[in-house]
Amino acid sequence: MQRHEAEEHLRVIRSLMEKSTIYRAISAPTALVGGASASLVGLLFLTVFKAHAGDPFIFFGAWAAVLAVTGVANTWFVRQDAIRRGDRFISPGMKMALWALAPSHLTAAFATVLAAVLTRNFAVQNVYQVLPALWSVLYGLGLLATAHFAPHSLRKLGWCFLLFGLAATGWWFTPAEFHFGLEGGQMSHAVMAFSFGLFHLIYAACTWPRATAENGGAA
Amino acid sequence: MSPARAWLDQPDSQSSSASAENLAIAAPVAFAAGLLALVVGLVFAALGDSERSHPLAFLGTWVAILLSVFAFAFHRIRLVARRRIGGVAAPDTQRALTAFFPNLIAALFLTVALFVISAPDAWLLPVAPLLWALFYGLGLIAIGNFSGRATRALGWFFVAVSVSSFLWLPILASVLTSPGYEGPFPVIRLSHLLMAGLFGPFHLAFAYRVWPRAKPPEGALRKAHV
Repeated sequence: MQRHEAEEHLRVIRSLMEKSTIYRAISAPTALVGGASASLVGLLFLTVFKAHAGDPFIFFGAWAAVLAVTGVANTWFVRQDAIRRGDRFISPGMKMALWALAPSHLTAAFATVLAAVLTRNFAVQNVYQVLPALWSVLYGLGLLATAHFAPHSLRKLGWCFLLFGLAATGWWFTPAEFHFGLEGGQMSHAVMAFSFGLFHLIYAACTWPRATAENGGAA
Repeated sequence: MSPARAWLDQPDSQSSSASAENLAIAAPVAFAAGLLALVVGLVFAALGDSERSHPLAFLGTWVAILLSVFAFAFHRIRLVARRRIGGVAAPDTQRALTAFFPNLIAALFLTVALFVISAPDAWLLPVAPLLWALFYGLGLIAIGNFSGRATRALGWFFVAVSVSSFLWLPILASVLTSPGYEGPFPVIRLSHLLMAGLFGPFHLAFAYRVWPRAKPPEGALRKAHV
């Protein structure tokens, strides 16, 4: 066998292994937990807790809680799957995925801290309300950065987040008659519920059967 | 060779011929982009005057430079592709362009939003270079898997510098927009200076770093395609 052919075979095998790993890293059950919790919190702030929707402290607290729940669930699912496979918890493929996701996620984290500081200490108190649109854009870019080893479904999810985030940024600066009667704080919760809630639920619904077939039911 | 240089020289996960091929495209493009950014940015910052310049002229200037660099990049891609059998760009070059594209879309849309928000006096104009550098950096990191660690390192530089610049920009903006301010750097001149500072030296340093190994061996290209 030619050396190049052997290299190409190894590359394909590695690519397939990485696809399996990234599928585990951002799996259908994680998307379900994240999507359900984001939808629930978003809808609560649009209905029951409407009066508190404009409070920045509650905004940061509520969505940090959703992130924490999703993060813990994701860690648990990945760990369970690693035990089932007899694999390491942090595999080389997962490291690759984390490296691809890191730049945009770190940028989002930095923007969040900056917005929190500006909201607390300076006159720009509503700047945090644009964060959901920015998170959506950066989350989408992060998912798209994994495109060369991720399945098609994840790429599509990335594009959905990116385009929706950009549209939401534009929506934020449109005149009030385009805001469907929502105030600033409610708009940010609505963006969160629609993007991180609904998109993840749709992703979970679309990928669940494939995840079961490809990963033996534990993806 | 120092450990840092050795790390930068590694081709990463992809085949070394593909990395070398993409660096052969990237090195001259980075040199041209860096030189243009530095010269145009410094000249406009020195000559620019807030009464004579317009924010749209700033945008037009840098979009023209961006298009020129794109044209040069596509010319380089075609040149390198001609050396391959079939005359098409390498799959990794195509994947790199695909990986970069979403970041370009985001930067384009947010630039329009920025100009709409800060119209008519474009008080948010200095944010534009930082946004461009941020999304450009994210794009470079995304394509780093196809063109070696040096490209990814350049991407991280852009992200780190642009993100950290957001810390001091609000302070600067509050000074620049205060009613009594008549200092030497109105918003448009500052924006040109930011463009020169962000896109000039980093590109030149990158081009200098990767140039010696930028030209792939002829045999490697043909072998990689066969």
